[in-house]
Amino acid sequence: MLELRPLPRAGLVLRREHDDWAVLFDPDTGSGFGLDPVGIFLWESMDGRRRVADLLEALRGHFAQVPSQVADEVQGFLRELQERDLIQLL
Amino acid sequence: MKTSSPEGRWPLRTLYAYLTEGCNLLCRHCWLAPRLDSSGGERPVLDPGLLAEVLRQGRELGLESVKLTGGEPFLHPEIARILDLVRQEGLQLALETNGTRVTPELAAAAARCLKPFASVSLDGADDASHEFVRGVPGCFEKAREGLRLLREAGVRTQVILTVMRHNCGQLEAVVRMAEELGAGSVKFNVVQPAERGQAMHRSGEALSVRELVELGHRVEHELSTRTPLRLHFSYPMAFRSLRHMFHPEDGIGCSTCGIFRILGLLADGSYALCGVGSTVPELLFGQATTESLARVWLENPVLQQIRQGLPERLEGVCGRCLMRRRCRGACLAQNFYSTRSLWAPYWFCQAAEEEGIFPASRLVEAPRAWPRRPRPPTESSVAFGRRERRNRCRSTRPRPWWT
Repeated sequence: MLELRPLPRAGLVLRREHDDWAVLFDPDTGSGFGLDPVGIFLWESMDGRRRVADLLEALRGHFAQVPSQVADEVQGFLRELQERDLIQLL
Repeated sequence: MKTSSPEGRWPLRTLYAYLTEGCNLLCRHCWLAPRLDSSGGERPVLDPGLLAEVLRQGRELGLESVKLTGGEPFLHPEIARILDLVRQEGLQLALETNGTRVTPELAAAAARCLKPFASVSLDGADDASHEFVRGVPGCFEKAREGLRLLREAGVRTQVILTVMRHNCGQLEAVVRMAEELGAGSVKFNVVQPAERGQAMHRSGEALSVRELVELGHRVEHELSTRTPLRLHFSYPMAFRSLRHMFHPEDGIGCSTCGIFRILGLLADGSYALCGVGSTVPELLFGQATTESLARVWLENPVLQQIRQGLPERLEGVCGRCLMRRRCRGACLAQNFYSTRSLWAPYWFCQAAEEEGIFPASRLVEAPRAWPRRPRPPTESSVAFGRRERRNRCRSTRPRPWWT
């Protein structure tokens, strides 16, 4: 998993809200997903070139007090995005 | 152990039992407007024997909880027997009360039920404010005492305040009072434009939607950070911050129409969509004295129409809202009361859209302003601090709460 490179599906729109969360909107299905600040950071960092390991490193550099199990959480997050056809893992 | 309905698909989870037609207070915002009944013997009340039969039938449909409301539930002359019925059926108990008629014995009876919970209305932080809203002198101290008795008996308690122009400056003071009384949460309701509440909207005593949205955001983002109590501001889901919506203890429970799992039983034995049947006869579904609960719940044409039509048939902004599958039009009873249509948009959301303040990020169609320039996250928002840690496990997992 750590060597895979996540690529967001084209056409998805990240809608930021009045606080620090966002709605990830899928115009094709009219569905939305709530993302917290960590999810937003990851979403905006995915470009099909960066590996999951790179995302984790970037996340650790960007946030304070990152918990030890963050790698598992991020991989779970990415798997769910993949299951919902929101990203590809290259 | 849970039971399921014969068909399984539409279990009835909660019965709202409107125990009394009368009420001992005269709240200026009441959406039901019951007649004054100071002593509890002047207006019709629900037959406890009938309620017992309905609860028994309800168990076969999957009934898990009952909410006792009114009128005023503690005005019922046989409330002790009714509390015992709920206990005997093993149902979770919720009480919606003005608190003025709670006694230590009744509080203890409530506490013996499964997961007892009571919402006590306190519409101001002092007697003058509360009694201006509630219309009867002396009810403030009685309400406080009622809440205290319930809490001391072991009932989980909540303070409910209906926000209006008269008390909108007292929200923090009411939260402090709730802390002092030992309540676990505070819920802020908005004045619904029905019955007496409708008059408040006409006179300007009710707040505008713009004022309510601003107040709700202040409660969610400022006031909630200054109290250990859970605060819930009852504006529609489209206006609630995702942070609050995802909170494991806050969730979506309120501000959604519960019609898929809730049925009302009025004091005269009528089944209805919540209590609105007392003023909207089209939303009466039958009589408990003559019809089986299963027949009403599973076969009533209006209920079937609602199940088939929600949320797809919702109109206006509600039909275009990302939250529609969860929110279900916020309150079908209110929507029907206002328009005589089950599919009409919720008045709050419609007014917000007309004013241009409906959250664009919650609409299905692409808002005109997209893509907006992203804001950089603030330092506090990106830190895995103490408050973040509680949400950490879910924080990196999106949840499809409105697909």
